[in-house]
Amino acid sequence: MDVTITLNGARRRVGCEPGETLLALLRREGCFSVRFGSGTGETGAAGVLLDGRIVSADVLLAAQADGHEVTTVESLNVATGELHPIQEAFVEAGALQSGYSAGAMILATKALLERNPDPDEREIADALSGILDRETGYVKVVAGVRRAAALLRGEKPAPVQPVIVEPLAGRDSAPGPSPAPEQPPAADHGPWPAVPAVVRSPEVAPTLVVGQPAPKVDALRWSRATRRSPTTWSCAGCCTRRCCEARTRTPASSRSTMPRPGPCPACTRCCTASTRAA
Amino acid sequence: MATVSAYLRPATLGDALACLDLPGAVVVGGGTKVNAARTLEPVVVIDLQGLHIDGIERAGEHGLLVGATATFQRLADDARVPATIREAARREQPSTLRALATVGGLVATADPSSELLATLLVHDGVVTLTGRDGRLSVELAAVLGDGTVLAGRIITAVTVETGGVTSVARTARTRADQPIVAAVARRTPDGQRRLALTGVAAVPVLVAPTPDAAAGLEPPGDFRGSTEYRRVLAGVLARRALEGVG
Repeated sequence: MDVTITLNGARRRVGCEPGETLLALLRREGCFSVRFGSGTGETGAAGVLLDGRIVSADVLLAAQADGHEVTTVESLNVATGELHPIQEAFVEAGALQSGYSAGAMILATKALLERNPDPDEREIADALSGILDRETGYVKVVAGVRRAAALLRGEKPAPVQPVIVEPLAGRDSAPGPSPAPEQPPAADHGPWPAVPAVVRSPEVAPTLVVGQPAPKVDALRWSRATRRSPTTWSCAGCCTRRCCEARTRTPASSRSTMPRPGPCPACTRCCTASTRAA
Repeated sequence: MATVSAYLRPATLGDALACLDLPGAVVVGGGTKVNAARTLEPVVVIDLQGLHIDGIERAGEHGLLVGATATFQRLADDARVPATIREAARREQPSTLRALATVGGLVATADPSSELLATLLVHDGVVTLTGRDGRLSVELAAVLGDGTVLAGRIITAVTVETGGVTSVARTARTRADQPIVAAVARRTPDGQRRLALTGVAAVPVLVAPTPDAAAGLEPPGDFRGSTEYRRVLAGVLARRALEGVG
């Protein structure tokens, strides 16, 4: 059977089976931001906007979406190539967690803020209630939604100040309860975090990572929820040629070059062209 | 997912009733129950969205007619709907299912833990059914008690009375979880009291509006609460709910 849906603003006529889910259809159409959750709609990772409302696409038949408007994260920045303010806010607030359900959270935020530009915490929690992402909790997600709301209202929220846990004086060698800090940070989001005791082993040197929060390497990719860039392969047939695309490494894979037998697709294209030119 | 052999979206009630004769025919409002069921027997999905019976409109001076395919989200958003029903609709499903699940599906599936069904019960819910023999109005309590009345018929609307004062008391494992037992009470404008309980029978039930209403019940126990625990809860929550309406 054929269904007609308005997918991310473009009207499309797509063939599908009667029992095919909207999730399966969307992924077949290249919308990889929509992830399988449970098949029962309980986790929300398959969240999309159906006529502006967040729904789980894994419990909805593609045929049920016939005649409706479906929006996925791909619609937010395909035209501009830049981050949508909601995506920007999620990246800045560190709200992406593993990224698996980031698309659904961003869409739920979009649906919420279009109806309510200044939601309180209860309304934010309710809007995200169907999206279960328990990797770190929801504190940063709620902060991300509030930040997105401020951005969309035209405000300029202050830069996110990460809470840096300083080694506590006198706690370097003995475990035990930490003294309470004298002044909580001037953050307007989230509760004052408990300060853990830092107990260092004398054999291990202090690292440069712990205590220095930074945006995740893959945050931009997750927020866009685009398909992962193909890994750049090291190819004996082309890696010595400057013109070869295979030498152009993506940021995500800049530190690794995996060996691959045989010529890579880029090699096939550019080396053939070079050979012909020669 | 259910094994779906065919999907039909009739445009009229007559067409929809004709589709019921197909082997394996299952009527779907939003599909959150049917589609999620892991059934091996192939089903023919009869989607009612083509009937456009999702509206909410006034019915009489103190009544409200809710179309069978009105979603929980629509109930929660409509300011004409009593606050207790709106809150129950919001609590019934998480945000990702609320815009799919429908009132008709709620009545047809008769979840024993449904606080929304209990709320509709105390608001004197009446279900409108349409079959080949015409239209039939049946009290919601009767439909829940005897599901055979739905055979060969399609739920087209649920009517509720909006006046009065309501109160809810519940006990759940977490603040957002479905209640183990809930009691919903309402005092009508003419002073009568209604009391509905969830989690104490196979479906939400209307009981006598007295604190000892749960004394004769035999709640089915499960991992969330034993029979004895639910009976005690029902008594305590009934008293609290009734105190809430005066």
